Amino acid sequence: MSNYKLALRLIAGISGVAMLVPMAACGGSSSAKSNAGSVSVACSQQEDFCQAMTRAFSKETGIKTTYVRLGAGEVLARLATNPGEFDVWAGGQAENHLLAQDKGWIENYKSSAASNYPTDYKDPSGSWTGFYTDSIAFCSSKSELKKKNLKAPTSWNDLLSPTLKKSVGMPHPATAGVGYMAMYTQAVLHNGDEQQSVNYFKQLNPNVMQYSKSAATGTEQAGRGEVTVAIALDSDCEKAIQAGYSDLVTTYPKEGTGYEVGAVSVLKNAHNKDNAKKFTDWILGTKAQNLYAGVPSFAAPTNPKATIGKNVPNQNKVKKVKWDMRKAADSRDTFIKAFESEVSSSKDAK
Amino acid sequence: MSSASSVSISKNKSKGRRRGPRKSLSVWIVLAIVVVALILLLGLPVFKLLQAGFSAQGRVAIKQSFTTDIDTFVHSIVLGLLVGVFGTFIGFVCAWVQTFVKFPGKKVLHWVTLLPTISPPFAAATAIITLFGKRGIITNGLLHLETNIYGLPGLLMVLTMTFTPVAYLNIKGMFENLDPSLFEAASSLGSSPWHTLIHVTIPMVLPAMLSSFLVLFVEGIADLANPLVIGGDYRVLASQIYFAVAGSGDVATAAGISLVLLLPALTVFLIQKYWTDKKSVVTVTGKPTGAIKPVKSPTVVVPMMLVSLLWLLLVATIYLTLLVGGFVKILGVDNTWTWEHFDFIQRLGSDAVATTLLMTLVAAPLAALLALAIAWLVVRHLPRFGGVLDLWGMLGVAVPGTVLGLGFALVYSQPITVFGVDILPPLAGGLAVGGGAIAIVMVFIARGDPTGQQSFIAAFKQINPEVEEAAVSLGADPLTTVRKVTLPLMSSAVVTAVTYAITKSMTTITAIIFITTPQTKVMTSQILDEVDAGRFGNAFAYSSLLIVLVLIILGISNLLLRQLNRSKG
Repeated sequence: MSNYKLALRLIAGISGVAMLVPMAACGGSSSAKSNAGSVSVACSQQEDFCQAMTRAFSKETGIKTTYVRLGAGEVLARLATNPGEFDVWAGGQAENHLLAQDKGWIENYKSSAASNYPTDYKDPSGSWTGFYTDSIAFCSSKSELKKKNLKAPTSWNDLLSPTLKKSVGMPHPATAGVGYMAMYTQAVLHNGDEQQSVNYFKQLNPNVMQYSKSAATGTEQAGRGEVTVAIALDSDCEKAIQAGYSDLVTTYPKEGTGYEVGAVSVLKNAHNKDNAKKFTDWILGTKAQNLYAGVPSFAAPTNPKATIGKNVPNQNKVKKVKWDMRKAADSRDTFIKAFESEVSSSKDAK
Repeated sequence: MSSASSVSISKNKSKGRRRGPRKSLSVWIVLAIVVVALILLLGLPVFKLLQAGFSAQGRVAIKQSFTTDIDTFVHSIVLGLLVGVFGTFIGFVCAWVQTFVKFPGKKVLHWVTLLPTISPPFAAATAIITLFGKRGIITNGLLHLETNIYGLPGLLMVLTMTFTPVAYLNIKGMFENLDPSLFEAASSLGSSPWHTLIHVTIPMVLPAMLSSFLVLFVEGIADLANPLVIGGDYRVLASQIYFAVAGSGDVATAAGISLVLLLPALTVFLIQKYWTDKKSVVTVTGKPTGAIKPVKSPTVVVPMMLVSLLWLLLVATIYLTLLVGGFVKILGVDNTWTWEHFDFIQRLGSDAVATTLLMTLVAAPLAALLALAIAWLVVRHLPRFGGVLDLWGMLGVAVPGTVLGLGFALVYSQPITVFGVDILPPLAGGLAVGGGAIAIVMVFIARGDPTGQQSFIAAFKQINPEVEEAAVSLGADPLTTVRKVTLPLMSSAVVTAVTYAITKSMTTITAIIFITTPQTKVMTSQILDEVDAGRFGNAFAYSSLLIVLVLIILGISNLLLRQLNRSKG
């Protein structure tokens, strides 16, 4: 018996060593630790934003900050398979943080930095706090519109025009929050009737050129003229305009539109919980929120005291639908399933 | 093949060995190492996936794939077949031209043909959109067409381009091992050049063509990066898996769909196996042979050259686009010169570049070794069990990247225990030893092995076992024989294996999405982020840098391999 165990250990040891030796060089870099400790961030924002924020935090506090950029869906998958890998989750719609809370992956933390925040931007129990916000908009190419003799869309129904066949960009609801937000928005516009929303997107399907994996893809497709209109976040559209796609124009549906609150939350199995809380406090503070414009990021800061950058879409002027974070989170699964089984595979409309 | 080797051995040894060659200790040791490696690389992760795939939810997904969603399944198969046919055809033509036609600038063409394989999957797709999209520089700017590249045409183009080099290397390797006297015999017997091509040349490289087709078919149906970028409304299984996992974290559904994807992959594999075994031709005999005589007949050379040059023109255009795209603001929209993209990489990506290089340098030789070991066991020593090993190794490419990565995340984020004893610490994720790099290297090996494995198997089959038996009967043990006799005879398979392992490591994306960690960043996933964000310029710059890096590594390893061969010769 003991011989058997010994043999097992021996095999394990040999194979372990054989694998570790070449990797020693890789692991070495992470062993250097300063006194302030470290924090590991799951970042569901754009790469340059993640980088700018973690670097600024690290510089200010001396806490070694590492991050991985992951979509919200990917973070949820990773929290399930690798608990404890991340200390704090920054970015992604608050709904996703609520879903993580439902699974018991989030530790409630009411940051004092958010005490003056509007109630729309924080969870009463402290599971999440919003640190940026933006809205769904139509991001259109002016020259493509002109070719089709169309005006920039100002209604959800404008997107259904037969002239726009295969000319609309739409993010996939499963991977991009905006896609799913658009579905929930339609439901709200139809008094909460989820099937009505599914029907709308079934009608839209022949006009969609591609369901893109990411929210921002559509803005680039429109900027290039591959599509005429993209359903996208106003902040992403503005970002594309500033990046050089100067032919783009942002419009909003007159019926009302959905909005996202990008949230931060402390994770339950965090190995550096104190630093996770410090990071949360920091990113909600005015100082960090004033950094957005410099990244540049065009999402509006949620801190009422933060200065709003020059080209950031003014969220107060956008007509928004009544948003119920809890309901939006709860109906996510239904919508994604319906989207897969009814919308994207539907052929009847073609 | 196998029966031939056992018969010829038993001729000069005692009668009691009729049941098969005696296996020396070194064979058993190699077998043990290979089996352990395969269990770790592909056994445990795939087992976890099977478990998930056959759960209640997974079964629902499987059923859906064959009923309500059968279109997606058909799409995948059609795509795989087309990519296999086109890629093998073009690969064959390019390899033939390289081997049989003498013309200036041959080496340049060789490297241009290889370009696509060393670029990350998204790169070509983004360049193709820029060139051939609805508002593409060529299709719309020059030809004033309004084409829709999204969907099957774009996918076919980009996948054929990405994987043709595999077929090219594979077939070219086999050409180089052919006995030139066969062609002389054909022509002196009055065979026309076309007749020789069809009745002599093609049958000789059929094993390589079939194994190329297999790899291309499987890569074609398993690729998910390109469908995400250029797939349009052409839904394929691989992207369904991605949406299930990345969107809803629905592992069971994803695993179910990936089992559906495994089915055609394994079917093609078995067909190919059965077929090549019947048709394989021994051409490397160890007898002195001359150099291949260039074919001069214009009736064959002109069309072959035309096809390969057109192809190369396309490849060159796309990669030129990539290169230029890294230096202008937005290619096709705002063509002002800028350094901002490389600036971006320098600011954000230097970490990822260093880590990726290091991991590749560790993984590639290991992958090639594993491929060699498997091929050696399969062809020379394990006629019965060998097929299983072969199949097992091929899972590295047959299992879609996302799913393999997910399998790794599931298995290796916790310590592995056997009968309550921890035999392995956690290898994946931010808390693992080495910052999760070990799991990534393991994925690199798993993904890098299959192509090398196929080309080693094809090469072993071409080499008459009597060459090795001669060495063995002179007292060399099997390992020495491989090292001193067999390997030098198949140097081009070695190059294929190492090349592919390097490029696969540098360009793998989907398999590592779930196991990149804060400490270990990988270039391709950074590029994916840039494409996602619509910053093609950064992606172009990143890709150009990656291509240059791969070229440097390949150049060095090629030189080393050549040096190695020369010292042996």
